[in-house]
Amino acid sequence: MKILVVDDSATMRKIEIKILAQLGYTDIIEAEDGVQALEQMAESPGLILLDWNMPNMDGLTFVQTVRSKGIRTPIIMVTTEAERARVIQAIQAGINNYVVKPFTPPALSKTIATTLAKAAA
Amino acid sequence: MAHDITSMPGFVASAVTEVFSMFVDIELSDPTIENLAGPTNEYDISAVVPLSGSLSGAIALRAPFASAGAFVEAFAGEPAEPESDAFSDAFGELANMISGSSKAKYNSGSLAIGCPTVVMAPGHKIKMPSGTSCWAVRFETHKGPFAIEVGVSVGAVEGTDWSMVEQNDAA
Repeated sequence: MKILVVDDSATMRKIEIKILAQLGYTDIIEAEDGVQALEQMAESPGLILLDWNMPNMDGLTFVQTVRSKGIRTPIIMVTTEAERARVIQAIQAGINNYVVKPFTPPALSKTIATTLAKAAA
Repeated sequence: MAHDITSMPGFVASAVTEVFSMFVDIELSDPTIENLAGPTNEYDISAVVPLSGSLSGAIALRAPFASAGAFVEAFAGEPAEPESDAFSDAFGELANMISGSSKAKYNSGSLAIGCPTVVMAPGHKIKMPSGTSCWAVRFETHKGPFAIEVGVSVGAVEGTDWSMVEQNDAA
């Protein structure tokens, strides 16, 4: 399965890709903002790890855009935005799960596994 | 409910401990918190994250090159040259996570953080917006010292932008 990792920080993308590799996922595509991520949707990823605060197009706008097109690809928001109101905003936009930075690698691993299991059910 | 701004340095200290324990794996001293009367020039690299909304100001992660290099290597998993994009990106992301975690602890839904700007210049100063209350939250590590400088004010302030001041050029 192809996984799209979206974050304006190359370091954070690298950390997330390393965690994905440890879970056995090595078919990874990357984007550094929502605009690039929309372009990468042509690759039909099976999961998206998505930052919120990014230049050009933020993560919330990306979620709203893909969901308005009827795309149901599971999305995990991985972000420093931890306030309850923001989490609710993201859930209402259509994300499947939410991980707050800083996160522990096991926490992200568990969320990825849970999200993919629910999507497959 | 949002807290008083004087609680912000404590939240920042807690956020640093959290981020370093999860991503940097370098042992930290207990923090020392001091009021800042003006810009300091002890550091070579700064990653400055602007604050807006219910608070104005900025949070700056600041370190000498040696400390910053060690933090970047521990965070990114490999060393990077200070002039490289990888170095700025990793140092900026550390500041981003510290600011995001501090913001969450402050617990004001209308407080927003901007993207980090990384400044590199030996002994440079970061001048916080006028009208802000300023603190330095300092840590020691076996790789060297670093600090978070915080300048905040409730609501908008005049001259809301932080600025970089050359070492011998500060007011």
